[in-house]
Amino acid sequence: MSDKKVIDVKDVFFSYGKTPFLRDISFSVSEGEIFGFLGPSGAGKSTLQKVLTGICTDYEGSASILGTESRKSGKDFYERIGVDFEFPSLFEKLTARENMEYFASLYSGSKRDIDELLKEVGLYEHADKKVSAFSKGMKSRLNFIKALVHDPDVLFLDEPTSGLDPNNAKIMKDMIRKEKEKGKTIILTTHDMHDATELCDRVVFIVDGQMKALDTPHNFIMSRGAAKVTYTYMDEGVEQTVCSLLDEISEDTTLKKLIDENRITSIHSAEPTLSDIFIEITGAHLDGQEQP
Amino acid sequence: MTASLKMFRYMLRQISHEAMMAMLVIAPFAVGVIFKFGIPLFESKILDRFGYGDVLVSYYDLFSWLLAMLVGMMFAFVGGLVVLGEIDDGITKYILVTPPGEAGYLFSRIIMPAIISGIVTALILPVFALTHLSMIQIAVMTVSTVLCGFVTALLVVTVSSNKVEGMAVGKLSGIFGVTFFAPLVLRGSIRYLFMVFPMYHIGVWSQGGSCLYLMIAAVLFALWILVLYRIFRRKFI
Repeated sequence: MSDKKVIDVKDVFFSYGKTPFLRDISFSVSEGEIFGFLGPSGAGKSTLQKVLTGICTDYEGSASILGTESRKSGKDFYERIGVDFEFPSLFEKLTARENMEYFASLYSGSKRDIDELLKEVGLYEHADKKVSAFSKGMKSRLNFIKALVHDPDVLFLDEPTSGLDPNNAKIMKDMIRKEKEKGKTIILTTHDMHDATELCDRVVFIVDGQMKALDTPHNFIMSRGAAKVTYTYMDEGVEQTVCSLLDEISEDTTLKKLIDENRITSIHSAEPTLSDIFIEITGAHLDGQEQP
Repeated sequence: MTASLKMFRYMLRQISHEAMMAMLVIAPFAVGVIFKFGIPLFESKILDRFGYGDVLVSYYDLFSWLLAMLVGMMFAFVGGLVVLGEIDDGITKYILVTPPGEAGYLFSRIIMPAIISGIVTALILPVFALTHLSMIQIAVMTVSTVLCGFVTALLVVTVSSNKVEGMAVGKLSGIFGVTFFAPLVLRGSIRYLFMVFPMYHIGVWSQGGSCLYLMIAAVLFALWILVLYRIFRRKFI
């Protein structure tokens, strides 16, 4: 990850009607960084992505991507960005390969090898099947590589693992990491805190169109409550459960004694999740409910 | 080849794969043949035989107008149906973030069919018209039916939410074109109800009205297209 700023957003306000929908959004993203928009449905994540990709142009403030103000986006701008919308946008009556060839033809620059991309997401054997016969997961994977076909510098991914089984979600996440290794800058919009924790260098919490906090997942987790160790053991035929803070574990004499006597029946550590921290900071659940 | 033309080429491919849309493209030519050969035949063999004489001759110009409108509206109708299908598939939204963008998409799906319909109109009118048409008549017919088709395409996309509704709206939007006949067939103040439609004023011009009616029609076309385009754009995004 370099220090070069690829995305620079300053004081962005946007509204669909009279009431502001996005308020006072400011952040910057460096080259090679995976930056996550985390928030419940309807929080404004996708709208912010629309502002950044030049779909919504009636915003106040400044949103510069690769040095271009997004409201002035033109052909060159779209040659350099790739967008993977949450819902697949594919020609159902075309085959996977035909879809890829069609979308690749819309770009003038160099293209990536379509067969290679299809292989990477496990669709090579299905390349000549019509997309209408594809499962939801297959469509999601094809939709994802469609955004990569012109080898863009910046990728906007909206819920890329939504609706995928664990195996396919892993394939997708591995590909996202590979793109990062190649130096691509990635904006990941998600309400899945596991994805955000695994993939993102930094995340911003967005609720009600406002930024509530911005930091690395690690810093969020470390700054909000220490990790805990929970262990169980049998005492006079009854299972006992003890919980200790990880940074005070050396002072836990019971644990030391139990280890010496080999009496521990289970032990595990737990850290607060990004989801816990999101709720703590924003007072909102990631499914959009208010914290009671 | 530009990306917009590639998109248009793909649209032609979609049309060729759907019998219904292919028929819509062929329909004006079939109607042209029927008008050219069927109407005089009908007149001589049927109407003459039953003693009605040449009653249709005085309406021959109107058949030419009808044919011109049919070309513009059918081609535009096809463009509108393709857009509806692509809205369903999420394609339109995606095109916004590709180099052709909104302008390229509009060009390939709405403007190109309109331009082609204009060329086809200008070519088939001299072939299938039952009367001699002047260059000015052909020019006005071509431009007005192209614009009429443009409005039809926008109406199909903005009013309907899927292809089935689009078919119904496409047929209904025929009213927009047939207002051309209102000043010819309606008498009394009722015909003024149709003054908001540009084709009404073209109809008045075709009956010997001044060029002022063409200017009114041009302004009304611009207003219709502007309003519908704004609604279209909202649906697009």
